[in-house]
Amino acid sequence: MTGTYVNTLPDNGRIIQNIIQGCDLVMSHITHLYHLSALDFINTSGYPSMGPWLPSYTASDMLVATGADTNTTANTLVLHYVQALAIRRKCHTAGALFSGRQPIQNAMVPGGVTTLFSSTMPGAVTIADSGGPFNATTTQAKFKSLMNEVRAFINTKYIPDVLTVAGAYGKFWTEGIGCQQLLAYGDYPVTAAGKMAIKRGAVEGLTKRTFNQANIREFVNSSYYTYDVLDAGTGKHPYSGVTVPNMGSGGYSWIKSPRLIGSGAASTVFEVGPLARMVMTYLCPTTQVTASENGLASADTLGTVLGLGPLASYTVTQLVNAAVNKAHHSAWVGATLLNTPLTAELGHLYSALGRHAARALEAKYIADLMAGGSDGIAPWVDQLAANGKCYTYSKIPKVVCKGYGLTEAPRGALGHWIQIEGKKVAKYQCVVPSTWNFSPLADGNPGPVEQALNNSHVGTTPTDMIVNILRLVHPFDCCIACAVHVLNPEGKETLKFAIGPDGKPSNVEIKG
Amino acid sequence: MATITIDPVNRIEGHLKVEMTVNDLSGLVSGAKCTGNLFRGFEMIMNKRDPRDAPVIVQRI
Repeated sequence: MTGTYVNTLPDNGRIIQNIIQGCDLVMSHITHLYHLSALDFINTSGYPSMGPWLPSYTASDMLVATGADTNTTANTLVLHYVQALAIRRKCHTAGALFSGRQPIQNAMVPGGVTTLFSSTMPGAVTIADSGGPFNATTTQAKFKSLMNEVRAFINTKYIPDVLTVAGAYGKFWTEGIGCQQLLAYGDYPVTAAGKMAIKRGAVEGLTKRTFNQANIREFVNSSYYTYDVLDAGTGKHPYSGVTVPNMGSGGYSWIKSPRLIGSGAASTVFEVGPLARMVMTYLCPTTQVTASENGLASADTLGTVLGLGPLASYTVTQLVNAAVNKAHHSAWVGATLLNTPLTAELGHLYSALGRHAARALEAKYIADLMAGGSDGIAPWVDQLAANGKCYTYSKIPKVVCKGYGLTEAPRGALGHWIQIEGKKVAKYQCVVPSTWNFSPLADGNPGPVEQALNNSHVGTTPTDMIVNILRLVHPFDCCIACAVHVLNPEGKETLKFAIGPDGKPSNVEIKG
Repeated sequence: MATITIDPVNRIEGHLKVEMTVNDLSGLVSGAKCTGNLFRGFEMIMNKRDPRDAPVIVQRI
């Protein structure tokens, strides 16, 4: 809506939106490494034969977790898997202080948030109280307390664990290379003027390219959709996009193929996600937003873990340099880590491990901005003004209008295009992150994940192949087509149906 | 050459199939295809609704 008929957000609204989104991102990234990816690298056969350890595949090169109370690499990773469940909950709790609930928050509205950030309402609730809602001061204190636990976990466990996995599986720095073209819409406005913590743009290799949303095209050459005869085989910009399902179209996926034309890059295929965001921000050194590890005990900072000392102020460039250097030269400590790595080592970010690393670093950067701030600038949560305005009302215009919103979901660049007529939605098109990454062949090129699989080596035995393929696919953090379950309050399924090749429901079974 | 199909890919959000050809001797992958197995349809759900419903509905994606 912002960009269609809503103008600017009040500062509190902007900051609280950033915080709600940031908590979701940090939660999503931690979940991704431990609960969605870790078992690609660990053989948990020493643990009881039950979920979440089963069902699983065992490849020949996995780290073996014995289940014994010994401090082996694999046993420690399993311990962190369990601890991460509590940490991701703390991310949700911290976000829900502002959004009412997480995920699927219900505070964000066009023009700001519905959050009441009052110094007196709802009264003098102390931090010891387990429930909420809390007044402004208590909310800020509780948020920092929760987020500091999360930050300590990221610094002392999440990032070191990624480095541990990288040390044991070094070949994955050169597997899953992919299209080597990145797209980030950028997000997290840190000033009213719109300066972004995550930068916007397209990248080819390590070189910036031109991005303009008007150059986005969605193709359906290999998808179960139909365009008009005149448009068949060509892409449509989302403003003129249509979603007409047709399983008989000769395609092989329900995912469309978004492509970016006119960027000056070698092809129109672009990968989105944490890697795109961190590389794009890395390539904008002069406009970077600094973050800091303020508020943490020294032992809980990544700077101390790496041998740099607590980082009172750091940029994404320094963070990426330190991590890439540490990954390739594990013995390095101190200021040497901040030197620019060899171009080849930076190039290894285009890999299965590079995607895990970028995700971990981004979780740290956003968590530090929310609760640590940087030197001279308060953390986001402390920039909020008690009793400040959180929302600006805008009237939906009667005239026909259209607009778009570009943002960053945890999985990558997210854009929605809307047209409003007679105060109602006349047209809506979403181009979501996994649509870019998991798109099928179009405009002459396979999608980013298809390209990352092609020319990778996955071994020659069936179980090795399965596990290695998962190790290449999982770093893209797929999030596609959620199912809708219709349940009654007792949790009983009430309706079951199938969507036919014509896109219409069939076999409707009302279960009562 | 072996054709490998993983359907569904586990530990992801959603329903995904990947299919590819793998060289038996080198393990090298070619011809990879990604298939999203579910239709989404939020564009149709949004049609003719109050635009302020959008943030509530489409965040479910």
